Amino acid sequence: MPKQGQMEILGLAVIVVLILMGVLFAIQFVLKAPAAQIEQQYKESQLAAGLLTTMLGTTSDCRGASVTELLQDCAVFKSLECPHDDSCGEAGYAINTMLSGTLQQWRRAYRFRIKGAYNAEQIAASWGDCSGEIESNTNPVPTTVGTLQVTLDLCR
Amino acid sequence: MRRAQIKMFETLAVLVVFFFFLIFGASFYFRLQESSLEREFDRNTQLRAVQIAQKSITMPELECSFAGVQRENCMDVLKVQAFAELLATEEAFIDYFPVFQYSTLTVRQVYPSQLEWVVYNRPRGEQSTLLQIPVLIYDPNTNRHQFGYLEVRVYA
Repeated sequence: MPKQGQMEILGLAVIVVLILMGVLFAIQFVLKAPAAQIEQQYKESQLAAGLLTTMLGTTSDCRGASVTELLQDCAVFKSLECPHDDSCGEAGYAINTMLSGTLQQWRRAYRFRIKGAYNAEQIAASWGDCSGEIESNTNPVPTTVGTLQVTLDLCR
Repeated sequence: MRRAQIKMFETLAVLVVFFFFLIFGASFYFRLQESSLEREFDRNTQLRAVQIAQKSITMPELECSFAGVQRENCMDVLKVQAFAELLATEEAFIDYFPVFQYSTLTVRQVYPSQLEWVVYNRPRGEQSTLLQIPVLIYDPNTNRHQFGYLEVRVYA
């Protein structure tokens, strides 16, 4: 009889060990998951930063001025005479063309906006649903009336 | 005789239940391992794509530098054209295979006009990972920075 009792205890111990192994196995998989999310976040923030820097450094069709220079003129004087439009219109056209040729074509929802000067704030662009998680990047553009905050949000 | 038979059936039932759990657990484990291996494989292909893209935008054969200072995320269009021509020769193709491996590198210009240059093309199979990095495409002839992106497709 005591031998049977010992066997039952051994059986219970085996079951407990098996359950513990299962739980440890599950925990391992649950803990591994966020790494991919962090990687994705990093990639998206790099993409947003790269896009903003590249867009602002692009030479426009307006007297060889860069998009940054167009925005600076748009925020203060609007003195640049471009072939088709003023500096604000030219900057808006360039930014829209660049974003639709990249993010929109890659089916990535985005929101572009500028803060800091009324004229420049009229330049905005967006595509897709932006109600979920957002990866945001902001580049400052200095002007004589203050600093423009140029922001690109990538939406998930 | 009957007691012994009952004991035998009991042992058999325990063994059936044990093996049922063992097979169920093993199939569950192998399925998870399989998906984990697939994820790891995808991750490695993505990392390879990032590596190739980073190498491409920083290599002297393609980057743009001013007075010896390299500009970030910038490619010289004349270098791109010359390098694409060079890689069309078998000798150079073999030399650069360790760098680009099985991949396709395309530089696409988005603004002011849409153009594209296939720099390197060595496809393999159907499965691939795509990575796009925004770049400035510098044209030394006009001293303008065009907006575009480097598209890297890495084959598994």
